[in-house]
Amino acid sequence: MNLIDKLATWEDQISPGISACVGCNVELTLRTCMKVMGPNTIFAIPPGCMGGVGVVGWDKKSGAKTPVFFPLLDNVASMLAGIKLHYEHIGRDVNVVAFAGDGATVDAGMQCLSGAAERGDKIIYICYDNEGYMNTGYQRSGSTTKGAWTSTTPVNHSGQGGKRQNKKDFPLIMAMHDIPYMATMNPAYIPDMVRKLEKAKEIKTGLVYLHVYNPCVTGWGFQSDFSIEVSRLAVESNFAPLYEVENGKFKMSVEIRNPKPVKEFLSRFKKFSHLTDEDIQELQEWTDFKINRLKHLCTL
Amino acid sequence: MARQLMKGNEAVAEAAVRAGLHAYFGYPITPQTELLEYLSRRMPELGRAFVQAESEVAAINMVYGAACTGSRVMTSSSSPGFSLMMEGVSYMAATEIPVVMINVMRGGPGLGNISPSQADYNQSVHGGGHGDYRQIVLTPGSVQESVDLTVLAFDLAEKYRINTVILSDGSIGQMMEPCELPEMQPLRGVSTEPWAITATMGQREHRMLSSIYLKVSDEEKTNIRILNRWRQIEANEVRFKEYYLDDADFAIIGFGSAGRVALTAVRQARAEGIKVGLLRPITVAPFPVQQVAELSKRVQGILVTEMNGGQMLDDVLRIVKGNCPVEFFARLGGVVPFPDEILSEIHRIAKGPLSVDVDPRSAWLDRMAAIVN
Repeated sequence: MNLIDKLATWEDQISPGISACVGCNVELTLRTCMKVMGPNTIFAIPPGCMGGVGVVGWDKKSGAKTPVFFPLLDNVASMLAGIKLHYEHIGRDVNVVAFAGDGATVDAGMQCLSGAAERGDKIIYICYDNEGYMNTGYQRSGSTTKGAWTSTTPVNHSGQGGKRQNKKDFPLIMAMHDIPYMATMNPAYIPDMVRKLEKAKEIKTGLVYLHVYNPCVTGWGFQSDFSIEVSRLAVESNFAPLYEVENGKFKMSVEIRNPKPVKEFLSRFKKFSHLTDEDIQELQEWTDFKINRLKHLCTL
Repeated sequence: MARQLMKGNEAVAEAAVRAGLHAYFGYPITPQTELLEYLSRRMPELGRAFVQAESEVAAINMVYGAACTGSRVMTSSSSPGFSLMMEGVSYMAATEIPVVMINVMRGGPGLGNISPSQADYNQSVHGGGHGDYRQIVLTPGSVQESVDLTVLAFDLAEKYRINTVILSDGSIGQMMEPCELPEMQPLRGVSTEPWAITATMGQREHRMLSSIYLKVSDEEKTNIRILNRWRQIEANEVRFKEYYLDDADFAIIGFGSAGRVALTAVRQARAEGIKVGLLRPITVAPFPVQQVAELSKRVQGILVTEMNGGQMLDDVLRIVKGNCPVEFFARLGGVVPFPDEILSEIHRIAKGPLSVDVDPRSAWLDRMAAIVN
């Protein structure tokens, strides 16, 4: 079956009528992920956009069609570890999946996720990285790009301010836990996403970590009809490369032969509109350094 | 200074700045986030420290570290975030350092919701963290009172080297009201307190702050010192407001938002000729024990009203000791009572009969069955 047929055949595990922003590419990501995971799935969504929009089923009319838990920012992986143990005990093979934002993953939830990865808890952890705490109005997170305006890294009238620290390289941090499978995904590359999710479902030897880069229409400031286009630019500029790490072996999923300047990506967002040429140059060098390191890792 | 229209959370933030806040540590959570956002702009503008931590656990321990230097430090959160902070809260209490914490309470338990609640009364007043400790708990009923109590909180925290909590809620944090802000206090330099850890610079003896006393007799002494200090606080720092109590036949006791709603009901009842008054504790720790005890000897009945399941009610019952009947009315889980509801409770109580033998919580739950179902 080809991809189109698969996506047409598989049932959408999320009901219509959830209240995500117009053009939200996290909703597309969630629907795609849960379609592949299928009905034999229990998943958890901590506080964040996808919790806020009603996927957990506030009104008992909309939301997920599979059992869904609402853990906290600091305990997603722990809660799922407990759930998985029960299903292992009764001998039922079920996909136990986290769908968590970057705040719950790279900040508050890092300790318990790291513990679950090290123990080899058999859960699939998907992080939708929109670079901040969007559900409370876009505060910075450890995953926010350097220079970005957020509601807690303000920019003054003369254009000074923004976040002062670099984004945490969380996919690499998770890969370094030597888990069986780690991959990055992007809503502009659905076939790649589906392939990785199908692979993730087959892995029974430990924790799988999937990191999705999701530019946020409302928080970052861009028109909703460019939601997929700007997501693709993140890959085409090597700003958020697509790669996977299977049993310690790094492999690029999408090779970009002639990368676009990161300026082309950054200039699409209001949150970077105050950046100077020097700031952008610094982010270009940072991007170059990271892609070169990644390519080197792929040769090992 | 002119009055200005401000949101509760932002007014508290500005009040803290003007009270000489050196450093703020926080983490986003509704309905408190505006406080964090406001200080992310305001503190760097003044060359002061603002840190958004990676979790509430991190935030409270940053507060712990900074407070040991004798600086004016603060954090803020809402109910679930405060639960995460409890380890640090206990450690700070044991270390006897001044700290100000703002809890903009929301509906619980668990994840609950983001609507106003008063359900963290027990957590703040009767512990929450482990071990024997007390903390001062101030309960504002308006934006202006939030401002005034924030300034007071820093002074009390330093005077007694104690955790001081402002127990606000989602309605007071989110509402906009006119308020008058205090004058800007000059920012203090390095602390001259004899206990503050500020680096010896080779000029003086080392100082030590600790929350660990492996010799049990030392731990016992520390516990007794903390309790004796609390006795002083109980003697000197009780604060409350009284409304129409002089000739009252019945009294309502309620704090914060619930107290404010009750006041509207009391005024309506007075207009109808019912002699009812209100005692609104400002400090729920230390609790106005003497005032409640005296009140219980001269009224025909007391109505406790809260936005929780009767947490303060237990304290009131302990003080009243059967002197007069105590009744209870609450909305909870994020529901705020309407003045009408409290007014009909006043009507019910004024009509009687009342008995000291009725369990007020149980009777209220029976009445609630008709409202909730």
